[in-house]
Amino acid sequence: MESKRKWSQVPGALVLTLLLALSGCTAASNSSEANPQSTGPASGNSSEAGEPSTGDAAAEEPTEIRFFRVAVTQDPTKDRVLLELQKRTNTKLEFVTAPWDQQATKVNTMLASGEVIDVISMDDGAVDYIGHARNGTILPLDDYLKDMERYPIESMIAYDDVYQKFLVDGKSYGIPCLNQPGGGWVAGIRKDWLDKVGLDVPTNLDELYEVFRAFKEEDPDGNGQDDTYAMIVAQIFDSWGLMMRLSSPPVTWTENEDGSLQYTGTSEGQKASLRFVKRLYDEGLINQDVFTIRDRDYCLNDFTAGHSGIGFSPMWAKSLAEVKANCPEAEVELLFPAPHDPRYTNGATVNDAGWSWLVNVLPKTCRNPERVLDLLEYLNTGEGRKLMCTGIEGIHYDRYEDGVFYGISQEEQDKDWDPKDGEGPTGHPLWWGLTSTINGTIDFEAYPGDLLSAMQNCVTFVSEEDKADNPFYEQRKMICEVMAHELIDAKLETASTYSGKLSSISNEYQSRLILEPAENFDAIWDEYVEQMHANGLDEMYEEAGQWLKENGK
Amino acid sequence: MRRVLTSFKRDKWLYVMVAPALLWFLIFCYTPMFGIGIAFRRYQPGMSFFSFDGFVGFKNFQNLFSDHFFWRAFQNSIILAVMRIAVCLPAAVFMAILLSEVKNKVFKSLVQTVTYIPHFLSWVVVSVFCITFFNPETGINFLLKGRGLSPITLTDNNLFRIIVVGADMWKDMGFNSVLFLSAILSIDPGLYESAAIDGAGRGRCIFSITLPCIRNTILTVFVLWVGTIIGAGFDQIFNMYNPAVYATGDIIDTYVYRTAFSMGGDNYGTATAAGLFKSVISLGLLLGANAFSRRIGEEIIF
Amino acid sequence: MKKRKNTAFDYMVYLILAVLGFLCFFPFWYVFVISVSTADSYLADKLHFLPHALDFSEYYRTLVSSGFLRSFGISVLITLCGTLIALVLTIPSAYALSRPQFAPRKVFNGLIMFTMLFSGGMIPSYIVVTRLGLANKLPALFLPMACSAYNLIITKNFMTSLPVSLEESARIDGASDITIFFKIVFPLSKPIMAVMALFYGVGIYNDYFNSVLYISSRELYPLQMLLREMIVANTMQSSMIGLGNLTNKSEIFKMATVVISIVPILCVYPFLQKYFVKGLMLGAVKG
Repeated sequence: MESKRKWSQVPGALVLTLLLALSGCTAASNSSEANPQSTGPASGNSSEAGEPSTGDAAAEEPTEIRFFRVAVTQDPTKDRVLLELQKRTNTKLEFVTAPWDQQATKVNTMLASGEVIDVISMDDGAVDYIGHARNGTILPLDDYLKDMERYPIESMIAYDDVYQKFLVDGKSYGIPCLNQPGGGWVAGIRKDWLDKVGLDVPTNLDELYEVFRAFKEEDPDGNGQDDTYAMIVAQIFDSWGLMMRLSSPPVTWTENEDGSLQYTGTSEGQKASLRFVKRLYDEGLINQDVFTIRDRDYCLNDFTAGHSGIGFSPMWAKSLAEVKANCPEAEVELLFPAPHDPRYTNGATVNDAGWSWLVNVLPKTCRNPERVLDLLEYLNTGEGRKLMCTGIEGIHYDRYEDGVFYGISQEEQDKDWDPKDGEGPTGHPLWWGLTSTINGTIDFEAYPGDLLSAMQNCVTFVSEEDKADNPFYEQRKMICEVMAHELIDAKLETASTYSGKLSSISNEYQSRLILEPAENFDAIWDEYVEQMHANGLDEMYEEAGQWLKENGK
Repeated sequence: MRRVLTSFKRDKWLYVMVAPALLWFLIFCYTPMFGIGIAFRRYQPGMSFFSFDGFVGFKNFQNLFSDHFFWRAFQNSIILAVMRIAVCLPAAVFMAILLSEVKNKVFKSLVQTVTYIPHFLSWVVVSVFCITFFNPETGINFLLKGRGLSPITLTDNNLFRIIVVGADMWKDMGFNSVLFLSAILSIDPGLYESAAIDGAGRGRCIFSITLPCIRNTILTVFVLWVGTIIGAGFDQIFNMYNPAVYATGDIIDTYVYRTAFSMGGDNYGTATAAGLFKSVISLGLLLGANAFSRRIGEEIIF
Repeated sequence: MKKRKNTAFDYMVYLILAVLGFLCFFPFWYVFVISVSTADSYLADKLHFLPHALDFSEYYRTLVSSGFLRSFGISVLITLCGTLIALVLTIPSAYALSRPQFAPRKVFNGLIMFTMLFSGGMIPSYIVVTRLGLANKLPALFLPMACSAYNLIITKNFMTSLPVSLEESARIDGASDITIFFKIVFPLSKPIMAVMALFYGVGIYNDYFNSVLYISSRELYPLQMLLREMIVANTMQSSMIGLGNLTNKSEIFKMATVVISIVPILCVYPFLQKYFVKGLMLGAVKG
């Protein structure tokens, strides 16, 4: 019986498979015509731009836009904020997404395959932006941006000095996402713990060492158990690793005292940082599983749980509330760096000078560049920012005035997005990243031709409640004051070729420096520097030097 | 010609049966293979995958072979492959034989359940197990440290390969034994009965009946493993390793994944060249293993 | 078979298997113990060999997190469909390739073996799959995995070892190849079908890379994608921008998520094993 029934299924399934395969074949032959267009040779011309704008004709029909952004959780057909956005901009959005650690794979694959995609929020650190620009996989935007009436904000952003590095051979290929330095990360320390162990806020490495020792050994939380660390260190070597930046600035290139160029990763400052971390590791003053923790958030989680005394947060407004929920007595003081201290030894973090992180590019397959730029333009306006950060007036909040949202309705927000998805300070999960990572609005008109000042003087959004009692709500703005500047403000072509190998080498050698016996330290360091130079650093030096000669101030 | 036609007519149903699979291989394996040409090109974003723009001959291979980190990864791949075959294959056979000797059905089924289950976990989960289990401060290492012994960690170059093979064994030993168990179960019981009458002990039976009877299965699995094992293990290593053990744990695939990450410059071509190199080595090993198995009298694949 | 008394040999076998079984079981137990600790008991007991608390609140957090159940459903669906199609592709073709009289079998074998060694790489495969119209569709998660040279060869070898006597007598009676396959070979192949169903099923259930490439909307994420997101994927960039999950993700939460992801397997597996072992036995008796 049983086997008979199975027999009857087999031919059916066979037919199904064949049908699937057949339909696949036809699909392949249909779309093969489109292929040469999308993967054709790079010409660099922009004949598309010369064609008459289709914007007016399309005014009635919503323009379909396929938008890549990493880790989108919202559904544009359900989320009321996105529905409102589509209504206001007359678009029909479709999000293409990928998990955090796979975004480069996804973007590279999409661009290489030539599939239709209208705009990509590209991580220019992981994807070869220059290569794609030079080879014509992404569109030059100059001819569109000439229309200053239609794209006033975008044309300002694209050509401003701050974003010089996104111009390839003088042309614009993408609209950088507005961002404040360091993504807003800053270290904070438990003031109440310091008081308990009788120490002051550390200002140099020696004092910081004392804090690490006391927080580990002196039971600062007073529960009688040896269960505290000064700080949980995770993902120690990523470019944002706090511990690696203790004695060197957070930039790729600096100058030596004699004026020669210095790659920070092989500088004396980096060596000193590593020695410091090694000392902490050897003496058991930091967690021993630094090399195997994958989750960078672990540091902050442990801090907010009340088990460690130094945290590293992008949003203290939120982290403070969390730590207070676990330890009501907690007091937090931010560890600001002294950016003009030449030795960077204040014991805290100096923030990365990056003004950008993502860049919105329009691939060759973009169907309607004008309308995509319209959408991005709207997202950068005050109205657009208010909508994306907090929601719709009258639904998600009652009233907005000078950066303050009155009557934010948690109940309405929960209807549109999952409260567990970690939304920003004021609400919507897409507040960052579509065109901006500033939870606030920028008055572009007030600072014509001076984007830097405009960004430094942005209005940070805040809820009524936070404004009243949260000392850290303007964290990102505070950080603007304390940043280091990148010496080579350009994207180097050699960097996109060698960065993978160089970071692999530096990760390996730096972990060896920490793990292996102290007497080998200098020998390993020398070998490390040698390997870096032999595997691409020399080429990077050459290109960086060339750039400095041509563009140096 | 007529012979082909007759064969076609006679075996038409066999052709029909094999057609879907061949079609599948054609679509999902052979069509993408045109991309291999990139190994000989300076591929840049935007170029077509199926053309020969930017042909550079063997330059990508030169890049690769002049890189000592690549050779280190290659060496690690080989060492890990040898360790895997030498440890995991006998372990699976051993397990299958033990299981076949168990008479108590409840016990047998219990052991099978417990030892097969790890196979169903993905490497993501198994690596979380490993990282948690070998945490330097808790669990087993807490015990070791308490006795003054040095801890077992994933950052130890002397131990990393052993942990990798151990994890592999933990995950797949039971499940790999399934094939051998099914081969053992299909041995004619009469053989054992007559051996028992002749007075052979059970240990003796294993060596003179069980092992010879499943030789064909063992050799098949051996040849297949030899052919694929250099390319295997990306998922496992990628989820388990860390920079401290690149020296012993980095394999070709993980090395290429890390260094060709942003895919600028020559990276894409070099990555493809590495893949092609790996394939050629695997082909050589496979042919070698196949010749070996043929020499001892079994036709496995060709 | 006669009932024999347990000998020293038997005790040896039991002992070794018991030890192996315990080794396989222990890591599960360890993770379970962590997953039910409270934050305090986790820190207090560094050994984690015995539970000091039974706190399931982190389990609850995982279960109510968005999309967990939907992703689980998707994983089950693609595993079932994929396994069925894989069997349809594998079993008949393995039979055909195992017949000595089938003239082109060596060529076909060679062609199939070749794919085990050489592949075009990720991007060409992506182009093929998307051109088939499978982008952001569930079949993209199982069709590219619906056959494999390795499994085909193992099945083929099994078929070769089937007794030829039955088949020959059927042929004398004038049965065609297809009749022989369905009436004789198919019933005999149950053990190998059980094994293959597991091989393919597990492969599809555990795969995440195809979802990274082909699935662009979160609604269609299978379970493995969600798991990765919860356990490992939250690396530097997510927190870079201050989004990430700033909600607390402790070690306990991760372990709870891991345990929950295993539970479906633990629930389904004993039933599967029954058929599986039965299939093996069937093969043994008839073979």
